[in-house]
Amino acid sequence: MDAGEEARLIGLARGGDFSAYGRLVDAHQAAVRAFLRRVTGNYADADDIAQDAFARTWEVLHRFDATSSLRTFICGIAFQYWRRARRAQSRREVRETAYADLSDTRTDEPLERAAQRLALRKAMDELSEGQRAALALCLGQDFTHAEAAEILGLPLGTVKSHVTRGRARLQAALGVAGVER
Amino acid sequence: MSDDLELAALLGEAPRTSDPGFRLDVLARTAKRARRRASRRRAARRVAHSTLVGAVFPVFQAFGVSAAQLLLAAGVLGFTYVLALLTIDGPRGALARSRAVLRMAFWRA
Repeated sequence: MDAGEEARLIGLARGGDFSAYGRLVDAHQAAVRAFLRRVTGNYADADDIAQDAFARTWEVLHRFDATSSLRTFICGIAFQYWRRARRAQSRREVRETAYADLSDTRTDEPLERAAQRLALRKAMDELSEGQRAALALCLGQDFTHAEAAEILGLPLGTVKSHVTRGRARLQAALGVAGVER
Repeated sequence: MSDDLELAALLGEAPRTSDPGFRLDVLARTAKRARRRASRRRAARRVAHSTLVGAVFPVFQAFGVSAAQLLLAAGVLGFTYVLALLTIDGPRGALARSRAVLRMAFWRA
């Protein structure tokens, strides 16, 4: 979707046009859901948070000043919702959910890949909130470092260092998973 | 760079196509939140109105105005209002207008 069309749809949505907002949801759902899937490790929770984030975006759309992209704005809201949800759960519950998700929903994938996913999930759980979110945003090349810095409210240098260190931790975890196999 | 993509895919894959079901869920949730917000606002307004009406008598009594005097003042104001409408629009107009005002106040509350 080009910027002009997006601006037009935002204008319509601000005026209460639900179908225009639906088109904006369609345009940005992939990036927001991918970010949340990576950061939570649980697809159902990720979609739940994503829906809340989109619903909240509708309410605060008048605050969007177009200095950044809309998907950055939505991801910023999604990040706040994820942090809130994470604080509401104990760390143990989150880990159990991640294990359950791996065993319940991906039974069709090869054992080797499942082991890698599990190792990565464990490594992600051990990272700080900022590191996890920075990795989830930047690894899939969905967002630039600058966009991630804006979403997370962190300095650009911090985001770059989070990504570099986090990537090293994940690769180390994959190495460990390889040795265990 | 392809390592990064592989890591990202292992952590969680992006949906390949935009999901209409997801959009519908978002819009349903948005509408539900809007309804809830509107009902909260209505409830707050109703509480404020009731409090105001309930507070009128004790407040005026604290200033030495009795309930009978207050009711008398309200009655005089209401009578003057109806009289003014009757004078301007005639009896039918006065009734219709009063009914509309009451209905609007009721819906707002």
